[in-house]
Order: sequence, then structure tokens, then C-alpha cells
Amino acid sequence: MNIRALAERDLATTLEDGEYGFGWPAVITDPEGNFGCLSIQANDISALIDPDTGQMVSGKSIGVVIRIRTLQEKCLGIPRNVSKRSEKPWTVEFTDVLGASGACKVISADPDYVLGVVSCKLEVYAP
Amino acid sequence: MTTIQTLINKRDNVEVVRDQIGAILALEVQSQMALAALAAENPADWDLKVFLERVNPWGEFSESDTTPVVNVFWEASTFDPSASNVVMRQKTSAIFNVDCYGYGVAAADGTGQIPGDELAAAEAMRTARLVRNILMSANYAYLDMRGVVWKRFVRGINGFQPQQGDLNGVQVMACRLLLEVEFSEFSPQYDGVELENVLIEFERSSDNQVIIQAEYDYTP
Repeated sequence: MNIRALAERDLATTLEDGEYGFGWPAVITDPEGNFGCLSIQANDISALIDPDTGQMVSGKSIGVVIRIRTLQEKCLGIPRNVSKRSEKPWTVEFTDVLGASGACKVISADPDYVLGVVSCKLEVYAP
Repeated sequence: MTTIQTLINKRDNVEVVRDQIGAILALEVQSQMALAALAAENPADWDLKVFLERVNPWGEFSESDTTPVVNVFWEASTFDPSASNVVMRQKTSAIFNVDCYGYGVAAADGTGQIPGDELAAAEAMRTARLVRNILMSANYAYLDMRGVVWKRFVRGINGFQPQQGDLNGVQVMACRLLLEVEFSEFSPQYDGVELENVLIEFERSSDNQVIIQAEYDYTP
């Protein structure tokens, strides 16, 4: 098997495995209200060190990585930022490690069509 | 050999003025909230949290507490020799930055959304509006420190995005009011020492001649 195709297939283990890996359940909803339950990798971190300056910056970084093939299987497109007030944003809902649930909207998305994943930066959202 | 004989334990007026700016804002915000309640408005729309000399006060924000934050901090002082004297009083012009931070949480709005960044910018500008009106009100022409403060004036307002890198999980925007205050600074004074005791008596003689008698207590 081609090495890139093999790497994409392995995402089921390296990215989505929630039993032995870092896969984490989430619900992704597009602006039309279509949603899918899938396994992603997520982070939600506050107060980081700026790698450029070494200074601690106050902020909150939330991001997820999603396998594109799984999105396709759920009949969802590639998430993107929706700036218009008249449209609903793409949202991602997942719990933290302590069980508290939260919703976020997608503010930027960077698809990687070589590996077959899309990395999304998120912002806190009140649905 | 040292010559200043008193402990310098006073606060300079630049510190007093900075604290006074914070106190005025905190006091007037409470008053505005009370007035808003009387006017059947939502008092929370006039609420602010006031801090002094903080580095990253927007860390105060949380999703459950989005009250705007104001941070007053001193930036620079210059001294005007032409309006000062070299012994006691120096006319000072100081710039105080009054940073107003607004916090926005994106939210659903019917069939659309309210963007968090837009909300944060509107909150920052609303806060700056309230702060400018309080500090430039006629009641505070001298910041309630007449005799020390010569004048105060908002020299400008700049909008900026606080340093968050790309950590935009929450949206924070800010406005900076540049408040210039002119006031007097005072420095320690020379304490005179007693040199001699002199006793002088003035008398008038019968012909209206003024006679002065003086006694000098001295050691030859």
C-alpha cells in the first residue's frame, strides 16, 4: 500500500482511537444544522508561554484535529470560519477531561490534504 | 556626610494622582450604576472593574464574568523648569494610560450569530466612553485635588488588541486613553537650625524717639 494511503488509514488508530489513544468524542455541526458524532483530538489550554518572546501571555487556546474521511462519511463538509452575522457558525461540542461540556465555534480551519486531516482553531461559543 | 536629615517616606504626587484617577472611576461607576437603576436601566451596563498598575488584567475575564476591566498605569513624567523652582516645587506633566478591556463571547442569535470579536470591540469602546466622560467631566477638572493638580486632559484614545498571540479562544479588545495630568511635585526641604537667641525690646522715649535694646546670648 502507498505510504500516504497507509498513513491516512492509520489515522483511525493514531487520531481517532478513544480507547487506547487520544481520540475524544465530539459533535460537529455545520451552519445548516447537520451534525455528526465523531472522534477527534482536542486541546483547550489557558495561559501559555509565547514561544517567540518567552513571555507568558494570557489567553486561551482551543483547537481540534479532525479526520477528513470521517467528515465525509458523516456527510459533512470541511469546517471553515463563518464571519457573517446572518449565518450560524460551524460548532464543535465536546467535554473536558473532568466531564464539563462546552461549545466552540470554528474561527479558522487548515485542511491538510496530504495526511487527510483538518486542524481547526476554536472560540468559546454560547449556542 | 549626609545632609538630608528627614526620612523620605512620603508618596510622590504622581502616585497620589494615579490612585486618585482609579478612585474617581471606581466611585463614579458605583454612582452611575445607582443612577441607571433609578432610570430603569440595567446597572450592569455601567459596571467596570478598576485596577492599578496591572500587567495582564484581562485575565480577570471568565465566561461567567464579562464585566469590562479598566487598568490605570503611569507611563511617563516630564518636568517643566520654566514653571518650577530649584528648591521646592517642580511642575510635572505625567501621562497615565487608562486601558479599557472588553470581553466578548460569541453567541447564537436567531438564525445567525453574534461574533465574539465584534462584541469585544463594542464593549471596549463602551467602557472607554464611560471612562472619558467621567474623567473629563467638569466636576473633575482638577481631579478633586485643587492646589496640587493644575489640569487634566485626555490627549487621545487608541484601540488595540491585547497581546494574546494567536490564543483567540476568547476575544478581548481594548482602548487606551492617554490622560495627561499637570501637577506639582515637592521635594525635601532644608531644615534650618537655631544659630543665636536675640532678645530685642522696642521703647519710645518721651520725645517720641524709638529706642531699641538688644541682648545677644553668645560665647566669645
